[in-house]
Amino acid sequence: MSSRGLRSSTAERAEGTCARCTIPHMVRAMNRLSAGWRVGAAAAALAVLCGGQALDTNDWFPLGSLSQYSSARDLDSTVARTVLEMRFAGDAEFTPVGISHGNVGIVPGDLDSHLAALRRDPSLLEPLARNYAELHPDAEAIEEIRLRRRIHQLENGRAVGEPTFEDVALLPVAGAGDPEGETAEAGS
Amino acid sequence: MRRLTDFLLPEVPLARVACLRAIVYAFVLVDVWALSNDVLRHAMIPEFYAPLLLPRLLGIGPVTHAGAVLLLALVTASALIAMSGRLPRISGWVVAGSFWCWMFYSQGYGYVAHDHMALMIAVLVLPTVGAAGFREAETSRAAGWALRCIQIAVVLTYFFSVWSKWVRSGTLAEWANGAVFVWAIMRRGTPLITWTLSFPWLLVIAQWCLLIVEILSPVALFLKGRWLYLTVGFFMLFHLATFLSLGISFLPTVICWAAFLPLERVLWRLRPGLAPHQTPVPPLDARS
Repeated sequence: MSSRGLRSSTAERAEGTCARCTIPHMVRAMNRLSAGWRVGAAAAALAVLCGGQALDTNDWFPLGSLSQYSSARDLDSTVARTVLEMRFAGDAEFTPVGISHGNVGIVPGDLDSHLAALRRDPSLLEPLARNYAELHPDAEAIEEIRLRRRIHQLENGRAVGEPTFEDVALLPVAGAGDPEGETAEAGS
Repeated sequence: MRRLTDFLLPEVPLARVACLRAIVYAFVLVDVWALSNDVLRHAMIPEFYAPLLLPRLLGIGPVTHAGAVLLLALVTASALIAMSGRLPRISGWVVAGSFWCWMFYSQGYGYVAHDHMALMIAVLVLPTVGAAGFREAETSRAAGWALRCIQIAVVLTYFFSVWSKWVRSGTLAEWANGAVFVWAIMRRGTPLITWTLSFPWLLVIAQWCLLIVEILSPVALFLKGRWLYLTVGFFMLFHLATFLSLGISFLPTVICWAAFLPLERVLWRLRPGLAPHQTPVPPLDARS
């Protein structure tokens, strides 16, 4: 720990030059304590980051797993995409609604992380209907909201056939077409 | 031991830290206002709050609209002060605390992105340097440590993703010979890339190439001069390609590649008035 600029005392300065440049400059010295905590902090952060990879956890963000696109996909597997649909008052069919912050306050990546919970408890769709109504005040009242997965089959890496759909959750929207109920709820 | 300290605590001009601070804090503003601006919307979905470890330990509950607005104001004000170079430690620590909190709210609703590690490390280590001006050729190991931490975080973003592929896929060959790119392109590919879905073998080759690049990424820590600039340029092009083809910019990491560059020399060439008194500016390919 005795290389240039690394000293046992503080506030020392020495004159030096860059390795290949010609600018004469001062070197701000660093004492051993300052060097020690910096090396220790870097080592600790690296250890946590290694733990995040070994345990494959995002929970330790920002030093969690760096798992972007890390899961292998079989060339003969399926590719699924989450689709949000709403049935508005007066409509017989569902209408696809983009999953975005501007539409429902959440993006597909966030929603995909909650699919298991949504299967167990479709009432989690209620905030999406609520947000859509708030963000689109001119839209017709929502009577039903549903989440589905559009699934493409792959064969040797190519999509084949028409996509199939799997229902994840369906929720009749409370108070739809019932202004009195809405008023009562708002007042409670 | 000396090699380790020389590697972790290199002497770096303070002006380089001043330049990097301006870039990082300016980008923090772009991030909270344009890229990770989902926190205000997350106030609408408290039901989906899934706090990460640190927010759980700190007892941070779901964000409210008023809380998000206050936090945004705090990040913005502190980043502007930090950019100006005033109160570098205090403003830097406030940016670090408020930006980390902002990111906990951005990433705490399900999906966790992996492009922010280097930026979050950057806002944490930059205040430790203290005062640093654009004219200061004086070198400092504290400055070198801060930059080295950011550099390591940048390359580990790629290198440790190989580790994750290995953990999740069993073998690296399993990942590289699979259909990850097909899956990604089918889900979010732009018209510029969807044509490749007709050529799965081409995407398998691309997956092997990406794997090799990620494995070799730590080499950037040891490169100098034009080889370093070529490497940085290569990664810039790679991220431009992923942005154009998949809409994934990875911009927080891209910005942190600036920690590899002799920013102060670029500044002194562009603005000779800011260069130290009467000294020739060394060429850009001089060792940093």
